[in-house]
Amino acid sequence: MTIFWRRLREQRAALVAAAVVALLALVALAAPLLTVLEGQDPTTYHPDLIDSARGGVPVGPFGGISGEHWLGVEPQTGRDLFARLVYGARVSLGVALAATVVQVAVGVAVGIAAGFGNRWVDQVLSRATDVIVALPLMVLALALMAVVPDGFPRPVLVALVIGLVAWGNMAKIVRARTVTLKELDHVAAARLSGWGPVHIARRELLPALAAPVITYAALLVPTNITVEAALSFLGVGVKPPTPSWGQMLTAADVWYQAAPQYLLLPAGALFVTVLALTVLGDGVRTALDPRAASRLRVGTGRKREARA
Amino acid sequence: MTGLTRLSAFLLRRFLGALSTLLALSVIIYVVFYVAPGDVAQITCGPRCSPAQVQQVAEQLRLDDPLYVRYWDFLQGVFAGHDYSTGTGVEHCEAPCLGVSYQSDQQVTALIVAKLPITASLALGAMAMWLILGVGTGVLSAWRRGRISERVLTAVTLAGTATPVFVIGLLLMIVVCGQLQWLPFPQYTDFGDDPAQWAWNLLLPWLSLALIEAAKYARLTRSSMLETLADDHVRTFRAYGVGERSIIGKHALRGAVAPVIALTANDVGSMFGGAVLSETLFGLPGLGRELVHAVKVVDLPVVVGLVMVTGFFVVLANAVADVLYAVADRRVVLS
Repeated sequence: MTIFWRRLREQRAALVAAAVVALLALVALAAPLLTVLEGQDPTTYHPDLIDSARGGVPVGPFGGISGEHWLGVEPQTGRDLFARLVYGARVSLGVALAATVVQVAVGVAVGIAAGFGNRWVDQVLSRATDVIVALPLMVLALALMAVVPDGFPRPVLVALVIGLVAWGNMAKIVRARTVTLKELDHVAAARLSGWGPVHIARRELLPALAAPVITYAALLVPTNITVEAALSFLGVGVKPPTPSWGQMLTAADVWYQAAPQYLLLPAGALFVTVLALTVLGDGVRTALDPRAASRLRVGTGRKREARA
Repeated sequence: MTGLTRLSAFLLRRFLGALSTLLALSVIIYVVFYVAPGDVAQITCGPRCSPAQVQQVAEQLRLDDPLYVRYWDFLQGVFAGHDYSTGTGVEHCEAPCLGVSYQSDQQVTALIVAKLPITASLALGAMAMWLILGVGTGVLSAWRRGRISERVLTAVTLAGTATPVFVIGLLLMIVVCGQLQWLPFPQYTDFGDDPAQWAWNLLLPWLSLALIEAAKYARLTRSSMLETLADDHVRTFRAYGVGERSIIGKHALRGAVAPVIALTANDVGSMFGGAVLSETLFGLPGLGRELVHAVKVVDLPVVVGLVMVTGFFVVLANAVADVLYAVADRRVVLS
């Protein structure tokens, strides 16, 4: 564990990314507090702040930026943009994390069952995994939105759908590792001493699976953020009045001249979040991969990582 | 066995493998969508159906029959065609029949055939651009490894992978089509009508998709090439005095061919099922936009048909990639 932290700290880019991610998480957690500080909330309409004669353009320069509305107001509704942006961070990070938890749970369960079960279990589960991997994530997630009941809270629903659609690669990785682990002496010893499969999975397999699972999970989070934003952008994900960055972009192109920040803020927030999480995920992978140091050094002429 | 019979045995095995994956795919999709929670007839028919219509759908779907009978029926439709009642008469749906839309009464297969050229134009044009752009950038950064220009290229491609396509597309459309007016706002012109206009109108969607995808390909090309460069045989080439240009251009690049082909197959295959985001953003009426529409009005036969067709294209593209690679490199068949 200490080795992991040391190896993570040695990568400057990953450190910066971790700081950005921590800041975003803080903003998301403190969203109610921040909006109280500003004195606004994300759902109140302000009809007096938009010019209905011009189709709902915010009143005032720069999309209605003022001391009361720090980032201006939303065109057409006049809802506070700062409040919607920070609450959007909540939705974005929350949905992505919840989806990742589902993906890890399903992927690890299916992977271990396939790798550790008998031939038939393996056949059935591996075929199902192949099918899930073959289907494009966006198409399947979008299609599933058609059959789910309407009453469900949307953010939970989006997280569940993303989680239940994109666990295929996780299951493949876990299965491959489990098959190798099964042959090792300590697992064979556990089987010979009569441990049940669940017990073996928990005590002997899971600890050895932690590194690849964490690595892949870290890389799943930014993808999940993009998918949530995409579904909301298409109008089938998180629905108003719950704010979401993807949803804000749906109508943004109409308003870019009057209120450019309505387009640029959610786009920038998405970009920074996904970039920071990707770099952090890469850093975690490098820190957890015993061969990464030598591989990083290959041909790049860089010496800094060589010590790790 | 001679090389040729070995190759045909490989092709046969690959074909059977693809077929069984497709069958498994159709079973899973069918089960997932038709064992959905709630009243299947109501969901299939959509929220706007009257009780009488729901009753009719329930009869058409024969909901009293067990699921495997209904699935068998669906398979029969795909391979042999299917007759169904329209309420007033009987209509024949020719194979491959994927069912009938309950919203527009259109046959799903006909709908897909009508929209496919638009999606295919988008996918193939973008593919050509991202392969040139991505592999080129990858080769360049492997060649300039360790220098400032490589660092810059790596940072740019990383930023590319972190940008969703609807963000870059939106910004490009506003700047290039709106402000600068260098390109027209995207729309679809049939290739047969006017090839030049077809390409000109699709240039921006191609560019947006290519920029995002190229980043992925550049990273893949670079890392595959760096891996090959670390191999012993490359060291031997160097010792024999083979020039850097030849090592990069001939030997290291060879290591990137297989992963790039595999990734291309997967990407193009899934894009053929609908480039959902770019089609919606640019207003191109292809399969992806059809899917979004079908999801919004809950048109289950269309949704299921589109998902099946997407799976079909992915499996097909992967099989084609395997065959291409086996033909190019006979060692694959031996293993």
